Amino acid sequence: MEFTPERKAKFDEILKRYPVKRSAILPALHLAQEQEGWLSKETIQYVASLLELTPAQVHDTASYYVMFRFQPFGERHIEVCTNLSCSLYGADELVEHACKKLGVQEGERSADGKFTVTRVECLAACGGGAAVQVNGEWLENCTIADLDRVLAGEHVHRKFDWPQSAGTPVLLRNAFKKDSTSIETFKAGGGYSKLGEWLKMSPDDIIEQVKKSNLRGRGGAGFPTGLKWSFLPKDNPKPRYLVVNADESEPGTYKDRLILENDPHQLIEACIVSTHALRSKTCYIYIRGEFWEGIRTMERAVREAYAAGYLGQNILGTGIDVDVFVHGGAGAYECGEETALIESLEGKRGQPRIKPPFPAVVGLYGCPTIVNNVETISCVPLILERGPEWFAAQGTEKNGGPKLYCISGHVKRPGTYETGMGKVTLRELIYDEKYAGGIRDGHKLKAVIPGGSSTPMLTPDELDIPMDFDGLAKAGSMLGSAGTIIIDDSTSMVFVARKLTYFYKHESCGKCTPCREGTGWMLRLLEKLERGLGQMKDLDLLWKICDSISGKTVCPFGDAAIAPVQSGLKKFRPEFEYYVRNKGSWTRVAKTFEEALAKEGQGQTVGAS
Amino acid sequence: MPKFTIDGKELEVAAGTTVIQAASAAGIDIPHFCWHPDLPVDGNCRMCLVEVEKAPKLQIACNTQVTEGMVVHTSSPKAAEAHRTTLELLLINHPIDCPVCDQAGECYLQDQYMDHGLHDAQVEIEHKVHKRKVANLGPIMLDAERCVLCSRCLRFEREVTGTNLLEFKNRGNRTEITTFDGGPITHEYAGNLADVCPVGALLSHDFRFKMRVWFLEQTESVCGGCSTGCNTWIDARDGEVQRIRPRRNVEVNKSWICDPGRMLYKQFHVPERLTGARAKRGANWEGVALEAAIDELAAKLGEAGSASAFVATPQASNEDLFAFKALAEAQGGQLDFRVGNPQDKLHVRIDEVLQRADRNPNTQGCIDLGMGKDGVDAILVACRAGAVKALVLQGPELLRAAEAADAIAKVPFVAVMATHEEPALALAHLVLPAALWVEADGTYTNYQRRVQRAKKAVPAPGDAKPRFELALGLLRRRGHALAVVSARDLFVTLAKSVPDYTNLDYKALGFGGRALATAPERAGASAPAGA
Repeated sequence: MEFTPERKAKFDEILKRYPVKRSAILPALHLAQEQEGWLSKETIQYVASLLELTPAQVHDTASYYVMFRFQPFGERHIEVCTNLSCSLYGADELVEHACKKLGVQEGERSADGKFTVTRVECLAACGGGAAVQVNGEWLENCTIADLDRVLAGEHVHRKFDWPQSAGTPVLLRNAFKKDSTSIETFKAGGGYSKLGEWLKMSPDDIIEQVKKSNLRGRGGAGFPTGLKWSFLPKDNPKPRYLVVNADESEPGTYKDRLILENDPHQLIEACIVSTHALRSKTCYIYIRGEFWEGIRTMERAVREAYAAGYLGQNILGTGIDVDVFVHGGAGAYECGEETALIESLEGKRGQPRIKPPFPAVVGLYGCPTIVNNVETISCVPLILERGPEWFAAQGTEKNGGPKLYCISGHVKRPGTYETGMGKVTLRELIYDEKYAGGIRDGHKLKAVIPGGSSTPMLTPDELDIPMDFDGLAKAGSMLGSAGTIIIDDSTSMVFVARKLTYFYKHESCGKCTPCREGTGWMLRLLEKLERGLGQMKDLDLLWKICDSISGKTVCPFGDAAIAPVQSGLKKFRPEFEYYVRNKGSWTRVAKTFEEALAKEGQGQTVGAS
Repeated sequence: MPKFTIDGKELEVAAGTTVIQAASAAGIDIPHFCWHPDLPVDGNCRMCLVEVEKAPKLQIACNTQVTEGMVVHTSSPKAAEAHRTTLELLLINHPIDCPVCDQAGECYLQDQYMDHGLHDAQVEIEHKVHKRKVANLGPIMLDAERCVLCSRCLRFEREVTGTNLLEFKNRGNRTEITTFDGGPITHEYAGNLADVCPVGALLSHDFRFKMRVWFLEQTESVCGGCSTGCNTWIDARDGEVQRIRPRRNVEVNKSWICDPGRMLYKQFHVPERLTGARAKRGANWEGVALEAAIDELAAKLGEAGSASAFVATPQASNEDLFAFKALAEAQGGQLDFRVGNPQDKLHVRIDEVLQRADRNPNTQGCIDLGMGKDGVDAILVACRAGAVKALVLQGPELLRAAEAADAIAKVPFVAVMATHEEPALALAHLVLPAALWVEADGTYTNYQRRVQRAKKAVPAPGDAKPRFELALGLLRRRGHALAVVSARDLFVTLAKSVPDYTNLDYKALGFGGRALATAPERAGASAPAGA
C-alpha cells in the first residue's frame, strides 16, 4: 500500500507542521483510512515506515482511537450517538431500526457493502439529538424516516437549528450571520481590525489584562486563565506552545462546536493574539476527529487568514510570527484532558501524564505549553477590545465574562445560550422562555445534570443557584463545561446511570487501575440490575467502587466517571432498590416512578416471583 | 538534603529522591506494580498510594518527591484501604490461575494479595474480560489476561533496547499487551521482559513449566559471557542450574542481562563436560586420576624447568590467574594470555545495551595481574624453535588457533585445563578438567575495571576442579606451595601484590563490586598541579 500522489503531497505538507514526525500519526492514519477504507496490516506498516516508527508503535496508537477501523467497512458509515441526551431523543431505536433493516449486527458491513452502522459516544450535538453522522457529515435531529432515506441511498445533511440567544450576544455575535464562516463576514463585523494594535502590546500587558478580567477556563475546571498563563517559566529557552482544546466531548456540551463551525475567524484571531501573549510562535488547535465539518471549516479559515496576512511571518508588519495549525483527533474523550491531549498531539495514545510536572513547565515536546479551551481563548480579544473591567462585569464575582450554556434533554427548546457568567440561575435556564422554555409537556422535572455528565446530579429543589463555578460548587456539583442535561419523570435513573457509566467505561483510557477496572465493574453491576439480577449488596458494592476510584486516579476522569452512580445512589436510591425488589425496571409497569411505587404498594409488579 | 518522616522513621535523603526510593532504601516496602528502579516513572498502577500529611488526597509514592518536613504514612488506615481496593480492582479481571502459572512464588499479585488484599472475590469467572492467552512470542510466552497493564515491558522496549516491539492494543479494560500482528520478540534482551513483568503475563519460554521457583536456591554471581560482567543470580536446584537472572547493579547492568548470557547455563550440565583427567599414551587417550595427572604434569615441569611456557585464559578468575602466574614465575617460564588479542575488544560494544565484543569476563583482570608478559607470538616462536619442553594452557584457546598448530606440534608435552570436550584438545598430551565460573568462588574485573565477586553456585562435575586449585597443586608439588586454602585467601594475597587492588577483600567488594581507577583517571591523578 502507498499513498496516491495527491495524498502523499498532503502528507508531506502535514509533516512540516510538527517538529517531531510522530505527531503526524493521526493525520497520516486518517489519510490512509480515507484512501483504503480501513487500516490493514500493510497500511500500518506503510505509515510506520513513513514516520520512522515500528508497526507496533503505530498500531499501539491507532487501536486506542475509535475512529480507526481494522476491518473493511461499508461505503457509508452511519454513526449514531447513543449517549444520554441522544438516547432521550430515541437514538437507541435508530440503531436497532437500521440494523434490522440492513440485516446486520452493529459494526458489521451490509451484504451489498454499502453500509456499516455503529454506535458512537457523545458527538457534541446534544441539542440536535438524536445525532447521526454519515461519513462524518451531520444528520442531526435524525428520525427513523431520515434514516430510511439514508439507507435508500439519499444524501441527507441536516444541522441542528440552534436557537438564538436573547439580548446582544458577544461570543455568538457572528455565529448566526449569513456566510458566518468567511473572512469577509468576520471583518465586516470588526474582526481583525485591532489585531495589529494588540500584537504591538507587550505580552505581559495582555496577561495582566486577562488576569484582571476574571476569565476562568471554560473547559470544565474553571481555573483562572491569567494565572495559568503566568505559570510559564520565565527563564526556559525552549519554544513555547499554545494548544487550543477543541476536543469537545463531555456529554451534554455542544458550545465550542458552534464557534468552530460557525465563526472560525473569531477563534483564529484569538489564537493569534494569545500565542503572542504567551511569547509563543506556534498554536495547535486540537479538534476532535468527529468534527469532520468543523475541521474542514477551520482549515479553510486558517488558509484564508494566512492569505490575508494575519498568520505567518511578520504579521501586519509587527515583526510578530504566529503559525496556527489545525490538528484532528480520532475519537477519544480522554483527549480533552490537557496532558492526554498533548500526548495525542505528539502522536501517542491519548492518555494523561502524571503531574507534576505540569504542562506550563513540561508540555508539548517537553516544552512549556498552555492548553486552553476554545471558548476560553475566544474571550481574549473581547478582553482586549472592551477592557478587562467590562469583561469582568459581564459575570459575577471571580467569574468574569460572557458564557455559553448548553441545555439538552427533556426541555422544549434545547440549545446553546449566551449570557453573562452566573447571570442566570439553573431554574431560569431550564424554565425561562429566553432559554430552554421548560420541561416538555405532560412531564415533570426529575433530575438535572448541571455541567456535563461528569458533574453530580441535582434534584428539582436545588435549582435556585447561579450558573457559575462558585454557585454550583456550593450546591455540591460543578459548572464543568456548562452542559446541562434535563431528565424528566419518564426516565429511570438506573438507566441514566448505566448510559453514562457505559460512556465512561467506553472512554476510560485504561492507563490507571481504578478507572480502567472500576468503570467496567460498575457497568457490569448496573447491567445486572437492569437484567433483574441485582441484589441489595450490589448497591453497596457500587458505592464502594466509587470510593475505590475517587481521588486515586491519574487524571480527573476517575472522579468524573463516578458522578452519575454516586449522585444517582445518593439522590435516587429508591429507584435502584426498586430494581432489586422487582427484578428490573419500573418503566415496564408505569409512566413514572411514583406511579410504579404506588402500583407496587398494591401488589402490581412485573418480574417479582 | 531534605529530612522527612516515614512511618515514624526520620530519614535524610538527597534532593529529588522520591518517597518510594527513600522507602526502598530504608527497607520499607511500599506495594507497587508499575514502578521499577531502572525505568522511567509512569504512575499508572496506583498501588503505591501513601498518606502524606497536609496533602488533600493520597499521593503516589513513585512520583512524590521528598520535601523537608514531609510526614508520610505508608500503612495508615487510609493508605491500607487504598492498597486493598486497588488490588481488588486489579484482580477483578485476572484469571486467578496461580496453580498453572509459572510466576507463582515470585508474583507481585500473589504476594501483595497476601500482604494487603485477602478479600473475597466478588466477580464470577465468567464475567471477566477475556484476552489472548498462550501466545508464543518466541523467547517469551504471553498471557494477556494475567497482565496488570503496568507498561514496564513497553517502557523497557522503549527506554532500554529502543526496539519498541510491544504495544498496547485497544483501550480501557479491553487494553492488552501484544506485539504487532503477534510477531516474535527478535532482540537479544527478551528475557528481561519476563523479569520486569511483575505478574505471569510475560514468562520465559525457556523456563516454562520447568520448576516451581520456591525450589530454587539463589547464588550471587557475575556473568562469564563478556567483558561487561553483568551481575547475576544463579538459580539452582539439587546442584543443577535452572536459570540465570540479572542481579541489579546500577553501575554495571542495572536490572538487565542479555539473552546469550542468560542461556549460558545450557552449557553447564551437558555430556561434553569434562569430568576426569586424561593423558595421551601413544596415539590413544587414557583416563587418569586427577592427582596422578597433576603429578605427571609436575614431573614434566620439573624436567622442563625454564624451558616451559604458560598461556593464561581471560575466562579465568583473578584467583586462577594469580595462582597460574605464581606457577609460571616459580618455573621461570614464559607467560601470556593474549590469544586472539581479546584486550583489543575489551571496550567494544556490540549493541547499545550491554554486550561487548570481548566474550571473556576477565580480560581486564589479566591486564591488571600482568598476565601479558612475553607475548603469545614470542611463545610460539620459542615453541617452533624447540625451546619449549612443556606448555601449560589455562584454557584451550591456543589449541583452537590454526596458526599456532605447527608451533604446538613442536612441543613435547602440552597440558590444557578445559571445561568441555572439543576436537582441539587432541593436540594436547594431558587434559585437566576445570570447573566453570559458576562452580568456583572467584573475582573478575570487568571492562570498567570493576572487581566483582562470583560465588560458587553448584559443584563441579566429577574430578573437575577450579583452575586455581589445579595451579596450587602444581605449585605444591614443585615446592612452591602458597599459604592459602581458599579463593578468599588467594584474593587477599593477590590484592597485596596487584597495583590498585591493595587492601581489597571480599568485605570491601561486597556483591556489588568495587570500581578501581581507570588508566586515564590514574594519568589524571598524577598530572602536575595546575595542568
